[in-house]
Amino acid sequence: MSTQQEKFKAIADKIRGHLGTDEPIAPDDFVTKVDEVYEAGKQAQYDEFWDTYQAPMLDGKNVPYMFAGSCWNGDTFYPKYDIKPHYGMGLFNYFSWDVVPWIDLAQRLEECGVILDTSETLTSLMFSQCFVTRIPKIDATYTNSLDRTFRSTTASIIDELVLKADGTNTFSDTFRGCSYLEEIRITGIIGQNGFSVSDSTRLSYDSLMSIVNALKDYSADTSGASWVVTLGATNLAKLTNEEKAIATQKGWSLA
Amino acid sequence: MKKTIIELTRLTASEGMVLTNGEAFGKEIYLGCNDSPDNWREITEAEYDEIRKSVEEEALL
Repeated sequence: MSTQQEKFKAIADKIRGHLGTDEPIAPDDFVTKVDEVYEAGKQAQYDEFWDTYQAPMLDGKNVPYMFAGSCWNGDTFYPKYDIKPHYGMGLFNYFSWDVVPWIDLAQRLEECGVILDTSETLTSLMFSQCFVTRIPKIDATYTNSLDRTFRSTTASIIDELVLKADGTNTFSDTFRGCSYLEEIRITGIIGQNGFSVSDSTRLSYDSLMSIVNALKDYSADTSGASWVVTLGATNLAKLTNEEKAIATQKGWSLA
Repeated sequence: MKKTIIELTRLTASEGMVLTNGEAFGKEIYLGCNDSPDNWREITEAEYDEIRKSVEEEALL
């Protein structure tokens, strides 16, 4: 074997080592194989990082604020495993803060083949000050508190918010400062005071009607308790008197 | 022909005032069927701003 052949063989052995194969490599394929080695390295680094980073959550440990802060943004957030936290407090708090462009979080999760499953998650503060354009469906049938869950997020779309069927979710500042919010679909029942979307003046008619239709029927409640949902003057103006009456006849005052 | 009567009770705050029941606030309130105007009172916009500011500060803690 000539010196040149020995050098080619050494390169080929190195490539085979990195790719984990015994297959012969023709000299014409060397360029392609170098790219494959580069990509394999990237994948290995990706796997090592995400296997380590998501391990505590996968092991069932509480990992509050897991994707909090500006270091998590469209350039860095490519999770490998489904995100199914028990303790979701601040999970995406200040996500992509001061970093543009804001990403469509629902789309990014879909591209990664990852599901955000909140069916057994405590969700308070989960998307507080979260700088994204869209938040995927949030199942809030496990958590009682939705306090500050979406506070001041820049999302214009929240795909769906699934509430408990008995109306026991609480809403303290849940949508405070959500001035970008245009679309949200509420399913389940709103049965507690504190639900306010007055800061979300861009809300669509359909979103407002999904809120009105989700209000629990307290028409037979003569306990003297006061039930109020705050839509704000701008949103109230989008509804007809007939539509407002759907809420008031269920015992809810509209502010 | 369909005849529909829609009953709504609307409270409107006086100039420079905001309506509150102690928890919710608004310039206009459409009362629920079991709610009473007696549950609502007027506060000044300055008072409203103070309350909102303190709630805001509390929320940031």
